[in-house]
Amino acid sequence: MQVRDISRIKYEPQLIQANHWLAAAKRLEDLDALASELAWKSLEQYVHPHLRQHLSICVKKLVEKGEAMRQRLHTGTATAYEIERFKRSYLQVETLMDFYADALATRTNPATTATLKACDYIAEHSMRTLLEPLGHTTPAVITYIDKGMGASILKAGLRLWDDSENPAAAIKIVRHNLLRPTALIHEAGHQVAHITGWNEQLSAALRKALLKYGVDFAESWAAWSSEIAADIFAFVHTGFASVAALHDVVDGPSRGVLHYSPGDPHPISFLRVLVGTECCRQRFGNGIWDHMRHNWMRRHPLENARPKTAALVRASIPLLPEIVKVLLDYPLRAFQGKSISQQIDVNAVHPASLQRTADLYGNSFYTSAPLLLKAPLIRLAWNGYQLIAEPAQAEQFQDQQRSWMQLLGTSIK
Amino acid sequence: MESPFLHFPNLERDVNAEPLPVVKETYTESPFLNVNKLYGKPQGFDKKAEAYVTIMNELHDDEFSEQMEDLLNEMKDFREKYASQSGYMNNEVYSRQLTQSYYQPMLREMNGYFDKMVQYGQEVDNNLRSATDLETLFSDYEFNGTDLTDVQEQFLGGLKKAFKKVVGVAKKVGKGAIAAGKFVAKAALGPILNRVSGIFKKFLAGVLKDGINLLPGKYRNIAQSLAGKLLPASMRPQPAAAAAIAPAASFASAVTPAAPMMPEPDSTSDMAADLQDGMNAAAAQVLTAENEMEWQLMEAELDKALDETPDENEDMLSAARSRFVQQLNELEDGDNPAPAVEQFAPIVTTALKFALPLIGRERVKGWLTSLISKLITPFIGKDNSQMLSRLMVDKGFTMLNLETAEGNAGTTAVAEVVENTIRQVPEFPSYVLEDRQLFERYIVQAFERSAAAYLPDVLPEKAYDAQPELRETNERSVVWKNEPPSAEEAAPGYKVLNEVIETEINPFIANEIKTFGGIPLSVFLRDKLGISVSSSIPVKVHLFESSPRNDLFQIAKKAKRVRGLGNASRSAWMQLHPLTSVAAGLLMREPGLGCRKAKENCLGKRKSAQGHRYYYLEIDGARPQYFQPAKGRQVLRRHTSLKARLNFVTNEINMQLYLSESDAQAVAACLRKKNQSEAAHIMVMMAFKEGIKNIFSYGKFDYLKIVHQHVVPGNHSGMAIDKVPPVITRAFSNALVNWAGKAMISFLRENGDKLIQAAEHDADGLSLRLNFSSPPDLEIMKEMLSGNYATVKEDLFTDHPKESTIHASPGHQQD
Repeated sequence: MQVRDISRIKYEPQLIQANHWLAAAKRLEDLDALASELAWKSLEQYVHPHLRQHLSICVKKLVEKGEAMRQRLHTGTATAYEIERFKRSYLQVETLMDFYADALATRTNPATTATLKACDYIAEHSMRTLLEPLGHTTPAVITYIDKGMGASILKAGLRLWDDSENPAAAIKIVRHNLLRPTALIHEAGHQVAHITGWNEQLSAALRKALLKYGVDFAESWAAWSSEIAADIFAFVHTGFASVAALHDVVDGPSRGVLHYSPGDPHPISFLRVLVGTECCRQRFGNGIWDHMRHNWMRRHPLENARPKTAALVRASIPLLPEIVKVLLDYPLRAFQGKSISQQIDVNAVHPASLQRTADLYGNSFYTSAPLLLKAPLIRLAWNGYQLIAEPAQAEQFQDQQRSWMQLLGTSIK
Repeated sequence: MESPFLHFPNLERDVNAEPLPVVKETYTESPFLNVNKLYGKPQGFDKKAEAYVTIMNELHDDEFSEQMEDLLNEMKDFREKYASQSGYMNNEVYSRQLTQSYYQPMLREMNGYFDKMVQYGQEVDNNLRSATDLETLFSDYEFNGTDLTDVQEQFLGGLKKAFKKVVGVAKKVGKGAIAAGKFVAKAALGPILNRVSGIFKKFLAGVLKDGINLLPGKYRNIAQSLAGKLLPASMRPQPAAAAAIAPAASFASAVTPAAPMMPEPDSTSDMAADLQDGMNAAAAQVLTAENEMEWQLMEAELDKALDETPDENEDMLSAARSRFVQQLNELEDGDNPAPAVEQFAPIVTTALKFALPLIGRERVKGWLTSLISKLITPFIGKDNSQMLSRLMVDKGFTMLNLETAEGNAGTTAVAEVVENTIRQVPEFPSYVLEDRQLFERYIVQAFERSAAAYLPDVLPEKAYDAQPELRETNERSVVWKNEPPSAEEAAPGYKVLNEVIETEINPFIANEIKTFGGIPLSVFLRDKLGISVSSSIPVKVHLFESSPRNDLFQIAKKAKRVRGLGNASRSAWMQLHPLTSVAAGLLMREPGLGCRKAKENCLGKRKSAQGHRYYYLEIDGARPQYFQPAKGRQVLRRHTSLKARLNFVTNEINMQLYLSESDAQAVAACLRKKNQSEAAHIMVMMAFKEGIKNIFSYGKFDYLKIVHQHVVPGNHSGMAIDKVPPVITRAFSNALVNWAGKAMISFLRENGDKLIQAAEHDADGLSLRLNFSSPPDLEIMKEMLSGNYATVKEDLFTDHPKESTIHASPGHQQD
């Protein structure tokens, strides 16, 4: 064998770089290395192939791009900038893959998997109820657990890091709220608002209705439309349960509750809860929400707010009935000229109605999977209501919630 | 003769018709032909036959058939996976070895279980153990599931249950509760269990050996052959499939008795049912034998039957098809395709197991070849076939390489049309084969039908305007295209329509369309997929056409691009429904796309024959519904159904109305409201009436069982109801509704709480078991099933049964 003269070996840094990044890209092709077989299987049959296919296509495009780059290197037409660009593309696709790998990795054991599948289903069900009659396709949902106080969503259809469209709505549910997941419905509300154009139209409706109270006032409320729409979506689906859960998440020191930062799509927490209790009052009459409202206002006196914030809150409180009327009853193009409460029957989550339904189905209310699959949101609404109305039996209600979510999760594949 | 296909420029007509032969008279089969022989006297019933049918009935288990079906499908899937990965399966010996080693853990578990059972049986015989120990073993025995798939574990569970039933029957025989004869009654338990476990092992070994080449009907033949020793041959019911193709069968029997036409090949589900029947028949033989010699003879016969080799006709046809396409490709413009057609036609008829009549066979072959050659001449030659290929590409046919595809796509489609034309010949009435002009008219019509399905629009638009039936569709221009075969298959795969049709279904349509067993589509969608069609919902309809070896399972597994399909699980293939013309009309306003097979054949049971059409509904939000039992693995939920067993031996009728979880909860909710028993009654009876409609029509196979000394017991026993004149069956089904309705309202008023309790149980749905003892006039039906129609009278079934009972129990109850 002839020994090569090492002093004559040509150093090709660009090719070395290209080889490295292309090999890394090719390793991404193994989706089974991304998540365990169990985690992949834990996705619903309709989500699994769709997501895998999407990720495969992203990687395939990346590899094709890399191979073309290397080809051009061989012909001497590629530049160092091109390699840098490919490296960036790789990192973008890797971020996408890592996001889903992390999400899938939270499906650790059969019990958690079943609970998250139930969350997937509940969120998707809430969207379908509104979107299907409007002729929109309901996106798939993948929920995952994370730490923290509040949930979040990476909406389906959004442009992702690698410029592809997100194939599913990825909803983060925080650990403490896993068995009280009305926040899922709030996040699903963001997704339906994105699909229907609800935010923009609600913003315009608020602006129009409140203009008579001053431009700044109207603009402040209009700027909160996206978060308010999501709150309303959660309310019409789960009633007081969503208000109670929101209350527990945003409650804290009065300074925080009364904090206002212009430009933030989140309304002042103080007002968010009051909007919720007002929704209950308007739709359900008197009830425990009146006590919540009273207690909330007592606990967080406006003296703790900055003057400008206090002024905005003071101006808003007497107008809440009017504002809530706009939120619930204003007809919008997004809903084919109907209001949200005409599209989704809020009366179904009236506590009296929930009680009647629960009595009608007896023990089967929580133990019959077809009933759960048909109407999971009224279970969420009823359980969430009881937790507040009968706190002495909280443990029993939590067990019920865990059991029915497990049952729901094991009833679908 | 008029046909636009005959107006192509270079088509010549041969008008020299041959003289008509004399038409022979054929006999029509009718049960009434036997009446004069019987003079109203009931036939004597053999005690041994009675014991045999009773035992078969006790051993029967619907769930075991389903578990067997899943195992057979898993086996197919396994073989195909390996085939696509390594091409090993080209070697049949190696493929068997692989299959057997794959199933080694299951066989090990099965053998271990049987050995343990036999050992316990022997120890009971020797008084080393009590019968209770054996019972405990049944409940406590657990298979080691480490190396088993879900399907295998569930199958072993079914096998365990089946064996438990054998032990139960053996005990009854021992105690004289079933009068099966002294030999078995006195025999020790150990040897009986040893024989039966040996039989079960033989069957399983046969299945593993045959694998995907399982012979349709092979195991049914075993069951019938064993039963035939006890039941009079003349009394045995015809298999369903043979009855369904009566015209061709009668032709075959009238003209060429030596070569009767085979019934349509059965699906995996039929094979699974036949396997169970075969196993049960053999076990029943063991339990009714009169001496040890009978045991040995039966085993020898079983060995011989299980040795039957697989059918290779389909492979032959596949090779011939490729050769035919190649021959057509090689022809130049103006060449005569007759020699190629002449070679191809007999192979198609052989694969169909159809024999042309001996007299005039050559003449008919000549007519066929000559006419088909003329019909396809305009598509032959380079220019013509390329033009046809281009038309097909326009219709969405994917061609990776147009250059090479152009040569093949057109001729492949022409070959398809030719094959399908010939496939219709067995359906021609026999007299057509004796009259050239008539035969040619039939062939042209068959050709037009085939061209409508498998060729794009090749005729001028005015031809289609004048004869709309030249297309299958009214509003669309569609064509069926072949899906490529899998790596293992030489034959083409199944067919798909080149268009996915977007439409809507509403509650009325969903109620009106029936799926397998006559079940309304709305019930299937609600109970199996969680879709309640309460308003119009958008659906995408995917259409498929089966081919040999591409049944529902294969289609569902291979349809990777269809959301919701593309996997081998039951939850996928169960979503393929029979595309009857009613379904096609209501769903897509295109009744012409419906299956051309007889409606009862499509709805009756799943088939794997060439040319059955199915649809799959892609519905947003549809999900297979699963039930997680307290012990064991997830299973698919069941839909509401009614099953009936007409037991002429014990003179009773047992019916089981299974209410799906949705229906059970709806009825229970109704009962919880005060004074709502009547509303609950209406709901229950609606399900009952829907079930009754099916039991005597499309559901004969799945939902009706007959226990009668002259009916072969098992999965096919319900087909014997065809011996009862429809007018009697109608009166009987009306009576059943009346009896059930009266008993049901009393039950709901007095025992509604029991139904509520059953509904609140964690099980999937609930079962209402109705039992009618000594129903009036059942004796008359019993006589009819024996072929005696002389006792028929007016006003049948007007009285009520002596005793009617109803029990509500949680979940789906077996007998």
